Amino acid sequence: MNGHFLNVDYLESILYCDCELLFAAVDAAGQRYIAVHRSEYPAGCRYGCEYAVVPVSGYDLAAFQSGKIGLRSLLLSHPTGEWYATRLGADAGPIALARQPTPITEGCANLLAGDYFVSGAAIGATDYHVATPPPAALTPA
Amino acid sequence: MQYREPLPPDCPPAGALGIMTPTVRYRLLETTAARPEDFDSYAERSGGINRRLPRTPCEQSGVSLFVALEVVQAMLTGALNHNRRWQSIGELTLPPGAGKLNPVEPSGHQTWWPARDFDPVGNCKVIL
Repeated sequence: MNGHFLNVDYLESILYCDCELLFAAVDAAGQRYIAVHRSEYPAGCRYGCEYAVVPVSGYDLAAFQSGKIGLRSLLLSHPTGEWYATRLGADAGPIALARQPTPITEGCANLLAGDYFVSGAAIGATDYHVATPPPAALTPA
Repeated sequence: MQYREPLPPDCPPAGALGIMTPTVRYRLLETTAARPEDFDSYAERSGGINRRLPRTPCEQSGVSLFVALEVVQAMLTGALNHNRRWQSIGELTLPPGAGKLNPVEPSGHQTWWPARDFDPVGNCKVIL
């Protein structure tokens, strides 16, 4: 890694709606990242969706996933505003991140204008999904 | 069952669920009135399967629904809608035979493969 580019691996999906909106990634040193979809959809995803990617602590990532902090706080948690851009295109292998020259407050102002909290309903769905059988209305085909 | 879009082999997956009684789910819409294209899959809209996305080709050929209104409200009104991609929420009532659903994910998301003869627009009420 030369400071401007690095590779990360996909770790887990946090929110999906027709494409990955939020996902977690990890680099070879174990550093966690949050990736946020920023393409126009669907035209902007034709050759791969664009993401803003920010290094975050495992603690803050877990706090976000449990609804304790919002996306805005998570994106602003890096002390220098470091962030990267990537596009999930057709290539296989690790996800290549390109360091961006401006702090995130300048480069992703539109993302930071609002906030997003993982909702209690979504968190509750974990228990629904893992611990309970499907509703009576839904049976395996 | 025949499906609304051509699907990859072995899709929907074996674990997909048939709809046995009317089931309500929520779909984010790109206008304030439901249109047929609001129920197109990622694969249909983006011109094919994205091999880099971690979702399978089968999932990319499905339609994203959510089980809780609260979840889609947060998406519609928050930072994730920074480019104003979504304009409203559709409350979709899925009758028996409307397709198949994957089990609900931790986020409340559920992939739906619509049946070919199901009319999603006629069964969708715009609620916001």
